[in-house]
Amino acid sequence: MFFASVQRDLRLLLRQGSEAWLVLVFFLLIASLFPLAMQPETKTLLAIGPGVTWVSALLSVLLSMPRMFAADAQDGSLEQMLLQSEAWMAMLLGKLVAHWLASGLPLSLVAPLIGLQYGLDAGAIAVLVAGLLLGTPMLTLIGAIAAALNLSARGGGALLALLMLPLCIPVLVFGAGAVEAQSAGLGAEAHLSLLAAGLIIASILAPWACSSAIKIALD
Amino acid sequence: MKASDAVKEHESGPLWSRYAAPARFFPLAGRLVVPFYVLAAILGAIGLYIGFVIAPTDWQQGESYRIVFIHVPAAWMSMIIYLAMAFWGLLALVLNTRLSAMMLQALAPTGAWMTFIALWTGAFWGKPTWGTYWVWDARITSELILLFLYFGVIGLRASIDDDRKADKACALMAIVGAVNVPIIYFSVKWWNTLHQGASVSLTAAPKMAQTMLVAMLIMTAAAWAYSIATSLVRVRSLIIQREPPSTIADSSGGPQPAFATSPPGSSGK
Amino acid sequence: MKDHSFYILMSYGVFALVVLIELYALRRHRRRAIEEAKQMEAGMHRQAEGNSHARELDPS
Repeated sequence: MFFASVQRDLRLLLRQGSEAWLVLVFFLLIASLFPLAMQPETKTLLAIGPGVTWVSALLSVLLSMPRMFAADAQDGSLEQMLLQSEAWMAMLLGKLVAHWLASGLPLSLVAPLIGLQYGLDAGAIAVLVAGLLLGTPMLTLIGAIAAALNLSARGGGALLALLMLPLCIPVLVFGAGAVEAQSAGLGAEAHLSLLAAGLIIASILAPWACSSAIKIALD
Repeated sequence: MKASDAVKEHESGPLWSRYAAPARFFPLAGRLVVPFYVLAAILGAIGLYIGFVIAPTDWQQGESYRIVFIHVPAAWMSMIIYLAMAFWGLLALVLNTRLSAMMLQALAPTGAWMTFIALWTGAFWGKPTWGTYWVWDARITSELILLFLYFGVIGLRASIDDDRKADKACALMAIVGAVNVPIIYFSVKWWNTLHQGASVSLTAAPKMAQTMLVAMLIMTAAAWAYSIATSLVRVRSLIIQREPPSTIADSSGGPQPAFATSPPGSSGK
Repeated sequence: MKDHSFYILMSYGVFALVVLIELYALRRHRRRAIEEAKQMEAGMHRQAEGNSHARELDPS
């Protein structure tokens, strides 16, 4: 079952390869907009850097969400997967992992660039990346629920954003807060552990909710 | 299944299952509407009287603190209604009942209005008390996020054409939202305590005089009665929209005129 | 003591407004629902001849 999931990962990954670039570019673009919209003072940039990075990451993952299920739902392959009930969960998990590998993971690894743009020091950047590595999977998981619900609905991505973003706020708070705590000398362990705990819980609950939403949509 | 059979099927059995059929619930709801509105009006009048006439002027905040008698009940109701929505959502998914889903749909707009009132009155309480219309305090920020959660459920409902599909999707969304509300509140509180700075915390309110507390509780009860009455009216309209017309009948003279023509096969008595 | 009547008025005034809006929307919703249902029922009775579905609903 696990191997089936891994194989599926790789297959989907190759399919989504080109889209991963778009997500990355979008990420860097958004983060670059903020200084352009204000006076790029060092102090200000330092203060808003973590927050901007996290919001940009959130929006980038949001951007990649509609593609998660829509294509498969349209050509009927999602229903096919659903009918093979024993492998269904493994396939869904494979999809989720593949999505993160193509969005959250690259984002986390590229984030140091933004950290440098905003003048963050090495320690802060390390915490930023660690937080993103823990947080972006959660964004994928939560976003998947919203994307699955959105399959039932007509209309575009605005509803998806409305469903997904409020639920992602805790991840945002603790991820950005971790960097600030580190910069303030308080240490980011508490924030990062909360993110880790959240990730574990989300990994258990979210796929189940996502699966229910897909079944509702395909009924 | 014939309409009369559908109704007869629910005539025996425990009370709750008897009224689980929308058609049976319809007249019951109709009988409850006016009493609850009357209760809301009476409690509201008493609460406001105590709040404005009997409760003393706060030596710190002056008269503006009296806004709390609408602000706090609205905030509490916004949360209670969301929990109620999630409860009905759970029933709707687990028991697959139409009525539970309709109750969820009926509660959402009222809950959203309560949230809006809480935010609006909070702003107008904040201005004279702390100098700004908006304070990024944990509770007000959580209320704002709650409003977005309401919009999510309402928006999802509006975007799905198939009634049953919308029922289940909104039920799931309400449950997911409800599970997240404590987490969101915890995270916002955490975020807020770190960034306190010089701003005043809305939670560090001075000890309330007895009369103020009584007025607030009575107003909350009034808001509760109002919400129930309003949701019942709304669910009745939803039942009319969704259920076959000939199954529905007002068994007694409800406060509203009996619905439509008297259909041949109904046995609402 | 400063005059806070503006804030009190804005708060309770908007609250009263919201209640009125909601009650009005409630009325409109109910009227629309009854209209729709009446049209549906009229349509079904018109199809009563030779339509088994309508016969099922109209057991007379």
